[in-house]
Amino acid sequence: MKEYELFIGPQHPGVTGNMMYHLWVDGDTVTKAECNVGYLHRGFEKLMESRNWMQNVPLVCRICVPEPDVNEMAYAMAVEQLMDWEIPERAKYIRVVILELARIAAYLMSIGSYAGSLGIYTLPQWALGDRDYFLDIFEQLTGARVYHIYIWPGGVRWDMPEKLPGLIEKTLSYTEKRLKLYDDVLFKNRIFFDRAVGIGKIPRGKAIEWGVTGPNLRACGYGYDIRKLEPYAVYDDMDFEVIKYPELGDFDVLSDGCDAYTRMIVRRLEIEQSISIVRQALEKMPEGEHIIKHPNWLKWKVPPGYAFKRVESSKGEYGYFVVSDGSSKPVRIHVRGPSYTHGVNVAETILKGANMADVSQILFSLDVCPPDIER
Amino acid sequence: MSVLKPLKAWKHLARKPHTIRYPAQEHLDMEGTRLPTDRLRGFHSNDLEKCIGCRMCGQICMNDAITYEEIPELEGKKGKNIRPVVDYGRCCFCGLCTDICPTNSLHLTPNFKLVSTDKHDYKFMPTQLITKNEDYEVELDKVIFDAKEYKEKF
Repeated sequence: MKEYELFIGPQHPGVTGNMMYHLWVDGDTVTKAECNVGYLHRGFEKLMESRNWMQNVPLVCRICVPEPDVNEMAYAMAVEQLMDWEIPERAKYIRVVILELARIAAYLMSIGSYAGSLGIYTLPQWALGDRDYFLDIFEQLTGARVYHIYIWPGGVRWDMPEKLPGLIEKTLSYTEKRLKLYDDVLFKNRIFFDRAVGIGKIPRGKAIEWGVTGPNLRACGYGYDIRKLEPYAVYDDMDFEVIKYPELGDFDVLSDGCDAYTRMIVRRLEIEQSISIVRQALEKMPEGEHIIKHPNWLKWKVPPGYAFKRVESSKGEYGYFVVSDGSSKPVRIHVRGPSYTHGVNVAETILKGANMADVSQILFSLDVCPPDIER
Repeated sequence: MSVLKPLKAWKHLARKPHTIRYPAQEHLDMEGTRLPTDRLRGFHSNDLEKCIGCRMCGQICMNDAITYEEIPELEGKKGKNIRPVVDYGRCCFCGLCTDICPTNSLHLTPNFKLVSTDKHDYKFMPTQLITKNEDYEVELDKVIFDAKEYKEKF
């Protein structure tokens, strides 16, 4: 049969944002896939070189829309290392709370859109509705719903309002209740078992070589989590286990890992893990200062040197390489984003041989964030 | 694994929707607090009497959203007689301008609603009319302020 070309995106609902996949299809089987980006390019890395150290804070969060806080965290940690700053304990706990809340919100969005790609249209409505309660928390804590601009070098911008822990606890217990319904509708649904098991397999031996990180790598059976390997903030005080294939808790191990099914189950279990981390952080949070005194922002000079800091996001591993020559602007900032590897080389390779109907569920199960690809 | 379990979703037919009819219905959080709270970063409020026209806000603004306009009536007061004009087509509401303000005259308020077909309406001098207590009730016409309208407070 003659091969034909198909474009998914940039306006297609079956693709994870403003990006496009160019597919060559033979009958119903994809023979070649090519990632095509350029719709979101804003040149973050170059822009950061022309702005001073503080002006970069509102910029870095724009590298990942569903979960912006990890970028602020990595940038702040790199600048703190260059400045040799020790940040207050309370700020570290508040950082853990907001990072984990952002992770839950990002997972809800990812699970919702994944269910939509299977044709279960109930869950996207629920998950996005429930995510909105997390945005309400962010609004009261940081002053914005999406781009928080909250984690600053030296601490966090504002202290946590007194009433907020109560609201967070209420939202978390609500989410726990809702997760049981999510299980009925998606994670223990026959459609999910029939369609996701064995689909979109990343070869286990190749996963590390391809640069796969985050839940996608943990679904391949590697217990790789920056929060455990290189604990930042106060993650070393938190009690949690890395969730990886084949330890899937209440969920059945239906395949030998690395597929869309395991990836989504790992995400589902990590929501519960994050809920427990937020509770621990709120419980252990000490009193005290939330930020250290900054120098005058317009004259702030960072000592020469370089720093590389990594954080674990819901998509995978984020790394920030920051170089300073002692002036008021960075010389170079390089961002290592997880979506670049997942969205370009991994997706292009594993889409080969996939069924046309499975393309969007494979893409959603990789949880790609387009602004990160073309930063 | 069950084929019938997903049908539990039907019980939501009898539930209230997530969606609120904004602005007819109030936006409340889970505990019933009215949103937005005071921390929301919306339009600026500037105390023109307290402001000294130091241009710090314009220097830290990475979007070049802040320009300055002269108010001759302010001649003779402390500082310069210029006051910031914000272009909300450029502003990203990060709030760095308010944090750098040495006199604490510039604030961000929870007022964020502005609808206009004229792009020039989005560039105006923020005044204290958008104060913390009144933000919900302020009308658009009052917010849009021309430097020529400035009258000294007595």
